[in-house]
Amino acid sequence: MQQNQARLNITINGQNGDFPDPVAFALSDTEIKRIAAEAIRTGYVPGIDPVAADLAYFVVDRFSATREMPARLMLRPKTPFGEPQR
Amino acid sequence: MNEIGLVFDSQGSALYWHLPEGRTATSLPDSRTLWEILWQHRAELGGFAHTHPWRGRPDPSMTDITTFEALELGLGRQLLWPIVTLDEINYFARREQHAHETTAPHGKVDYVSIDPPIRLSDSDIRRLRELSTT
Repeated sequence: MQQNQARLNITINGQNGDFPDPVAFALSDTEIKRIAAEAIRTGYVPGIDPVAADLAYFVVDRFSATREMPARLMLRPKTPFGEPQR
Repeated sequence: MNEIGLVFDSQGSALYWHLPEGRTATSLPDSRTLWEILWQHRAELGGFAHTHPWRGRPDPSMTDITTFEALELGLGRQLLWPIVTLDEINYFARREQHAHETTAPHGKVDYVSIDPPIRLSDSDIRRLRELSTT
């Protein structure tokens, strides 16, 4: 994984999985949600059953790389009662 | 006066009191910590209660409804969503929309006040109100 890339983790329908390919850490939340929605719909994410999902009210947590871990983008639903960034 | 929240289990017992930094009378900030608690307890989760710290009928805002919907999609299960004002409490739950219905403000699903299968204890309701007003 290159320095400007990240692992994208997705949680939906009580399931959790990593998008198989690295993604650019600098992608916008909107772009990450677009990629994730397509991957979920087509069953591209191991551990997540295919489903057409509206991720409009999901948010992206961003964690920079550490010595032990690559950078991570974690897609999850917003919690009571925040608003996702657009 | 500040909104607060309570995560409770499928018996209505308190699991986690949510009093985050940055809460206001009309909002709770998005919280990774709360998400991790909800995910950790997802198997035993009953729902999430929150306060509207004023008197009158508890009704969900649009932000409330979109959050209910997003969390149920993330967790893969339906939850109970009590809203507590200083003098009333309503329990909201998802109701599927039929194709001919157009009342859901967000489109596909609607959340309606129900006679709930479980209830919060009187002491937890009292504590929600006390913590919202101190």
